[in-house]
Amino acid sequence: MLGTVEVLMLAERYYFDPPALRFDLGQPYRFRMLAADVAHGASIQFGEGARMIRLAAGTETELNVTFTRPGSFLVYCTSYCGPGHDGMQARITVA
Amino acid sequence: MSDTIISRLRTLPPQDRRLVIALAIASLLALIIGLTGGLLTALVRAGFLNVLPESGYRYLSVHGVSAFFYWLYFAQAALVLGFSAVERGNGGGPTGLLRRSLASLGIGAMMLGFALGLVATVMGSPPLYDGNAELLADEPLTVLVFSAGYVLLGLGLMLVPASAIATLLSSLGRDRRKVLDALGFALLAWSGFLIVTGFAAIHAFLPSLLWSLGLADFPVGQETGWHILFHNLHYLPLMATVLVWYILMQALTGTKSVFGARFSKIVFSLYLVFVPPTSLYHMFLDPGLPEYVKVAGSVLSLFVSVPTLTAFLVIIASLEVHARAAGATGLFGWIRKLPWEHPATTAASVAVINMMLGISLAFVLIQEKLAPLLSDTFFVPGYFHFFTVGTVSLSLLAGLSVLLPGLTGRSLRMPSLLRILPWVASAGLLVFGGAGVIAGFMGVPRRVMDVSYGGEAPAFWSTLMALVGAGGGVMALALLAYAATLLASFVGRRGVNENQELAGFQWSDLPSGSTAAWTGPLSILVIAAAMYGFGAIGFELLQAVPLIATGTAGH
Repeated sequence: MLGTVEVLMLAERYYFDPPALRFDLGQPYRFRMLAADVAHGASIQFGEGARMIRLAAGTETELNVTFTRPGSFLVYCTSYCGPGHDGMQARITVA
Repeated sequence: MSDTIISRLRTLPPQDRRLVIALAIASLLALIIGLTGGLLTALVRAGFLNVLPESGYRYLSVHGVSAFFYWLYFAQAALVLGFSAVERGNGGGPTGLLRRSLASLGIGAMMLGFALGLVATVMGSPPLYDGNAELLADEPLTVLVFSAGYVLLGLGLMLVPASAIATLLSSLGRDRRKVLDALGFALLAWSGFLIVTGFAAIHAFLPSLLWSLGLADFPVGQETGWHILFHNLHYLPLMATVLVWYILMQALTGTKSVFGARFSKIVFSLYLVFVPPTSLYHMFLDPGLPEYVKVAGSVLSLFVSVPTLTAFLVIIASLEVHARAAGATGLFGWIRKLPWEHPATTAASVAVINMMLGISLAFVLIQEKLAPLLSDTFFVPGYFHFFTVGTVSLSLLAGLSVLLPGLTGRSLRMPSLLRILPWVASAGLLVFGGAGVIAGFMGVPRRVMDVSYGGEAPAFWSTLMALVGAGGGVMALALLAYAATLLASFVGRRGVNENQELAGFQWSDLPSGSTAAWTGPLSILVIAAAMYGFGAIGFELLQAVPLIATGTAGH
């Protein structure tokens, strides 16, 4: 297993970049996220429960995560960012 | 005629009546507009109304601005002004307002603010209810109109209570009473808190107003100002609610606190002690918040409901003791003795039940460990409607239903309907809130019109939103009917129904002695058990999340 792997993610009206991510089970990752324009948020959905983080505009936010169950999980923006907010989503696949 | 709140209401000067009636009508119109916006929002989220998301956000903006701000603050202004004018006459002096011009000016500012707020919701991008300048940076005109609305509201919330304070203080003097009694003190504290909220609104929105006029830099600190205002907006209506219960207890039954006026004053003062330091929990999701602040926030959050629960205990115990002195028997038999003929009794009683549910759920959300699980999900509107609608709005409506007949000289229209509607609204609320809380636990986001995410989201999210829409529809329609009935009570033949006058209820003359009163403590036990239950579900869910997450930091 590698050490902690850094993952860069950009949030901007009305998309996440990259829109799809694939992770290994049990591997530690460090998310480095940036809201490029206005405040956004990111919530990873696990069907029952979620993990969310708020992203202030122009501030890099870090979160260390390790996935403990395989699956395909929806990510959506949690902070109303404008009329296109509904469509701001991404997907994380853990295998 | 004995000296009561109701009897003194009839002696108010006509110009004061007109001011309070204007505020009451404005509050009910704001409620009707806000409910309509809320109903449309719920229908869009449920998938029952097929419109663009932007229209849904516009409905949500109308709902938030009208219901969360103007309904709650017009109604509070009407009640604090009306009852302060009445309280001035407590003990024999004249009733009526002092510094009436301040009140008139304040009411005018609030009404103009409401009109501007509504215009802003339809003129550009939907501003929601916070008018975040960051999102409207390309639309300075929208920011101008929206911010001007809230600045005027803030101005009104400083001027109207200033008249109430001048009125209350004028009842003190060498030839009159030396100190205010518990009700006068409560109205004074309420007025003070309203002024603080008004100042907070101006502090939050004046910078964006000046920016939109080209007179200042972009308001980068607007979010901080908004948080200060928002925390006030959470708890002032709760303080108003318990004060309305206190007023209703006296107005409907003649009962005064069995714990004495001094203890009641201490309880009302607790809001000023406990509310400001508990605001930390709003920041739990902010990146980079030090761990010690999160721990302190969680600990302090345990105290946020102390004033509300203590006031609740005082009121319930006082009513129970007096009802038992009036002949009630059995553990809950005293409840039958309450003046159920008056619609306010039903509304306030249902509000108490909803508060128990709301408080139990609120404690789940304000724990630091659960915030990343539930904040920004539909859990939030799911639980807070138990407060804003089920507790606060029903209590304010109960207060208005006592205030208005005395002011207008007209009985309430269709009192039997008014006795049923709080139950119907609460049944809808139970479906709305129940489905909403479950949806939150399942991760369904708030402030999203289409939760399907193009088929990417779990299918049951849409089912839960349909339940939210159905429950919300019932709740909104019941409250619309209540508000319309109160509005209809402003017109028609004069004359007051004796049952609404409650001539038979003057429990203040009864010997209360050392009667045991168990309902209040039992209710607290039920609330504590429910808090534990909901909290346990939250932590179970937290354990089930297949993710180890540490070290959030922002830089």
